[in-house]
Amino acid sequence: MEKNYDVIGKSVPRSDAYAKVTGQAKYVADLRVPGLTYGKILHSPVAHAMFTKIDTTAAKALPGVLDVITYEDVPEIDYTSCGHPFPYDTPQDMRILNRHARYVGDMIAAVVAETPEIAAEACRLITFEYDELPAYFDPREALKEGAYEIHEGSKNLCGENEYELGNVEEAFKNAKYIIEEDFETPIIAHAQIETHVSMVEPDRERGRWLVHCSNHCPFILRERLGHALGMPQRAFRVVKSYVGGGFGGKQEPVFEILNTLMAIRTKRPVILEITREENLAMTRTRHADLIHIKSGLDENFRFVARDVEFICNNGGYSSHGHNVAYNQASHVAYLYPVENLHFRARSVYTNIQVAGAMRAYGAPQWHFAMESHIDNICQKFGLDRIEFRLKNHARIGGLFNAAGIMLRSQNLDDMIEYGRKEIGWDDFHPDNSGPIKRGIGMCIGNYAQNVYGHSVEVVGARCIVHEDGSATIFSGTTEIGQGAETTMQMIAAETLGIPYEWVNMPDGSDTDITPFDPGAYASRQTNVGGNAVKKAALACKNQILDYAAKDRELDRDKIDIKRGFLVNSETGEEICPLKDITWKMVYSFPEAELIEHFAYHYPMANGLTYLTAFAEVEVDTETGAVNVLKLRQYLDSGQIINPLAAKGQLYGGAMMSYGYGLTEQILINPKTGAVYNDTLLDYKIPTFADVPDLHCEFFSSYEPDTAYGNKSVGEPVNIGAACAIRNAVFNATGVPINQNPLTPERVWNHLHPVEED
Amino acid sequence: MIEVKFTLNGKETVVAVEPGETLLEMIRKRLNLTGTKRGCEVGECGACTVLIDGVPTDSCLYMAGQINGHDVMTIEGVATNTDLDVIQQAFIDNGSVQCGFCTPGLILSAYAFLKTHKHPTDDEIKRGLAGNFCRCATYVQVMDAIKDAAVRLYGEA
Amino acid sequence: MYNVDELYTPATLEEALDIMAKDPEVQPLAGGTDVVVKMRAKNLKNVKLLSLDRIQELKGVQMLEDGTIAIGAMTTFTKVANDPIIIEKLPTLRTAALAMGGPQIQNVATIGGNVCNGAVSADSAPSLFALESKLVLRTKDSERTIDIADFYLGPGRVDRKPGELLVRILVAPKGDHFGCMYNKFAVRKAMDLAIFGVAATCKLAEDGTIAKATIAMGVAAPVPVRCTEAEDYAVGKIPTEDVMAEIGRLSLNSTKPRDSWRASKRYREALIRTLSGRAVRDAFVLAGGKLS
Repeated sequence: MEKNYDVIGKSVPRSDAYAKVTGQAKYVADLRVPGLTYGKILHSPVAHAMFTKIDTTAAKALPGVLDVITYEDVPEIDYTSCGHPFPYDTPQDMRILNRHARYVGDMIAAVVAETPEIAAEACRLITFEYDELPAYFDPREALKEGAYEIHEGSKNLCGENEYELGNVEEAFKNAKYIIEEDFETPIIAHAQIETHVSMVEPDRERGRWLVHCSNHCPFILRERLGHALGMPQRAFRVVKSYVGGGFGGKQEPVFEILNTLMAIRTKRPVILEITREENLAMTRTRHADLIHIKSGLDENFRFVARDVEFICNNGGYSSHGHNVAYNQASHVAYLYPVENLHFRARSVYTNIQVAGAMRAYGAPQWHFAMESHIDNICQKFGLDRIEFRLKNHARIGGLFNAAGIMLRSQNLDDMIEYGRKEIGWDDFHPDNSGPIKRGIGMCIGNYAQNVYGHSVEVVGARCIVHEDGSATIFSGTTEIGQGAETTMQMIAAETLGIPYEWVNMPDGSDTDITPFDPGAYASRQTNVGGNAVKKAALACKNQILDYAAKDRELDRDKIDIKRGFLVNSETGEEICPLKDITWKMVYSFPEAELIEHFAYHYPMANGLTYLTAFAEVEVDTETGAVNVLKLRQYLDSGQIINPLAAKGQLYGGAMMSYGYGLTEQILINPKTGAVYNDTLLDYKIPTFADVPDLHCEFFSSYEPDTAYGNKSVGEPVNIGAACAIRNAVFNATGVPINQNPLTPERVWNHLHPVEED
Repeated sequence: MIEVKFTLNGKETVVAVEPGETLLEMIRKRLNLTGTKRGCEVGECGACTVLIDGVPTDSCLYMAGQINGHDVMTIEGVATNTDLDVIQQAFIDNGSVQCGFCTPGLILSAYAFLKTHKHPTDDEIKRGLAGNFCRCATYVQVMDAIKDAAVRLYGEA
Repeated sequence: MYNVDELYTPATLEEALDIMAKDPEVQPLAGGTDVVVKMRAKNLKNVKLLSLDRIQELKGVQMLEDGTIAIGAMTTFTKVANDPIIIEKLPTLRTAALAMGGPQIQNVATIGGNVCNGAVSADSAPSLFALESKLVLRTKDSERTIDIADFYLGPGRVDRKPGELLVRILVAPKGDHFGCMYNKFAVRKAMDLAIFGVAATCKLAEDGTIAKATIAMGVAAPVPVRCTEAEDYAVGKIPTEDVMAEIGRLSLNSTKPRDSWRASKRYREALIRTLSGRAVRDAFVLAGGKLS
């Protein structure tokens, strides 16, 4: 649906770009307050242990030490750090500091001191004793009968869910072909360049605590602070300024609660800045999954039955663990629908770093498995990989009750056709006689718009139109670098009919000021927050038009506001500057009007963004090195609000997925459970030099029940590249690799199995 | 304490530093210029990049006591008076900023790069800025900004 | 803030050697890319640092009268990579310099610092070994020149005696029909550690075969190694597929690859086999050799 917008769809530089290119943007670690003190955490050096003794005497005696806190000093309250969805059924299974340490890095004590060096030294002076417990790093070990329970009474299951549609057993009996395979995905790290950081100041006058955070979910953080500290929520004011990268890893309070406890005990402002090593080894990760897929196909190679089992390595605590599996439960149903479907997921406690939310929340794992599975099927039966997908993917009209999703917009086939031409799919005949072989691959994928159907989904927005016709909006929408604030300003401008430059929005979130929002996750901000802003802006606009109609004796149905003018809505003719109306509304005597509205929105629908990715690679079969020659990613994200910002997400997401496909994995010492690669040298996020010939484009569609036909961007963009690259490597070598990342060594191992030697 | 005298963003600066203080600490804590970011402290991320005598350097690996007589530029010194530098404007216009944490380092690397590359190729940009990680992976847009700035500065190739 | 008691910043080599003589515990500080990282990782205390940054006589590349190329120990990788003498005569060192970390690291890390750190993954080591470099080390009162192969004692351990500074690296003239190359094998294209690195040189005989080859490897043994058996075999050959395979097989005899979480022994062996032959072939071609 082509719409004629004045603001929407036009590229606008982000509202915080100036502050960021000049170095003026203040991130949490840049805040300067008098009397600032420094926190430092003592982590468990062992993967699983019950601490029996902890001696802080020497640490406390060190000059400059203000406080030493151990597991003996924290509130006896169990909580989960899971920020979203609101933890209805997530096990409340951790303490602020833990006597029972469940992974290398678990927090057992902490120090507050006058300098970071003293704090670190004091941590080294704390001595302790512990009884080591059996530790499991592989979820299959933790699930074994009689395994030691990492959380008492849990049988090491953080969560389990299972459902069946149709009659799976019967359908497999009638299937013409049955293919059954296993896939494995790695643990990966968010590796935000800004490590986790928070700073908590006492507000002595009001007896409150001002929590400066780098977090996706300031409101949920406030709620978690109240719960975990056993204090009224009103004691906390949470302020989020700039976030130096989130990607899901700052979606929950990993360290903020401990930081607040430090400030409460010392009555001093305390900053807790996490090191790179802690960031990579002791925060949150994307789950490693073991995925079993059994597919039944009819004689036309259509899916008739599917049985999927996930075993998710959840690490020591719940975090978002099982909610990620819930999201996977939806995903298995709605890319390639099938009438007979059995799904079972178990999220398993193990003694490793905690798995939480990460960009696309379970979808990258599932897509890697399913898109690999499809290419494996096509190879086995000599089928065209694109035709197979075109035949089996869901089309408009599809309804997926389990996830509350209705498929009402889709522009997938056009994108596939475009990509097919762009990559030269039909004319690809490489000479693969030498050791270096070329291949092409592709994948498709989709992702939802919000968490309607299973979790909290309400956002507030306030819109003020000033007497000069300009506006200020307050939106809960949390800016974490994705450009959400600019998007909200654009939606307000379009709705009000004024230029983008006339709309202001205060930077950041402040739980004392900003309307409620559960946070930046599920790629939901434009969908949910956008609707709230639109409602509030529309209410302002209607008030103005009502006034104008009455005041100027105009037909209310024939006037509108465009580009800052009151216009005739039929002819577009300008009647007067908007200011002429708004000024009069505010400065009339005695009956004045203020133009300000609050609105909130919760979605009652969910839709699907679609993507496709194509890759061409060359594989050195003698070393296993994969060189990506071309990478293409296309996204049907409905109406793009701000192409300039969305492009950054689209390209950036593709590169992050490139890392998932080829280079990134957290490696764990199988003896100790410690993370081997806790530096950016060894944890291999893509560098600038790794960027291949990369090109991405948007394909539009129009999604109903949204502000302007928009769909999600931030997470779906992080799904495709890994799958397309994997399938291109398969195409080049003929050897299926059902495990990512495709590091040179893994590729080489598959090409040269041990029997060969 | 060691007294060092150097030029900081065009201004003569004299400051006393500890022998164990890094340039990053001196800039952020002592001089309160917080545009220079701490990302890893071991020269692996590039967020703390500053220019020493025009050369991009990880300030986390440089001992402050060695700075005597050198010329240092931080992100705060890139814009002149009230005007943005060409490369800063190009970053804004090309959507080359997302979370922004790596942005100061990238801009300083790009600023130095453009002094020696008037008509850079994609490959030269990728290699020339390989020391600055961007986890938002806005690399292609940064490449666009550098090419755009090169044209604004030196004209078409 | 590191726990540093002293930071010396001498302007001349004389001053630096005086300080070294008085206090042998002083840690020379070149680009800081290893020393500062080590202070942090090991939480070193009461460190005394001797910054060599101001000593101009330790910087730069020169060609001596006899054609020997002398590289000052404090020459940064960026300077090595862009030096006209290096580009013309020893391009393998340019490749090695540009393979190291990223631009910021190359801008401060020095070739002397890289050698003295003694890391098995040091990017400069395979090339310097393959070029049969010599090291000049000085104390206040003495100077000695040794083969680089004798300097490396073990992982992170080198034969730098108390009070001694590495001042210069010497590479004897190689003459015409000479080629050299370095291949760093890593997962990423920048900011990465070598899983394996190999440098090779080739000098052609008049008949177009190999008169002399050198092959040196990093991350293939506890110290960088020369593959003498393979080097001897290569003499008189043209690196055809079969010859490359044999070079690969023989190279393995000189190495001691190990299993680590970064790569398995089996995989490292495959890299040694494959990449050593390719390295000789590429050096041969760079020397002007014809493969057929």
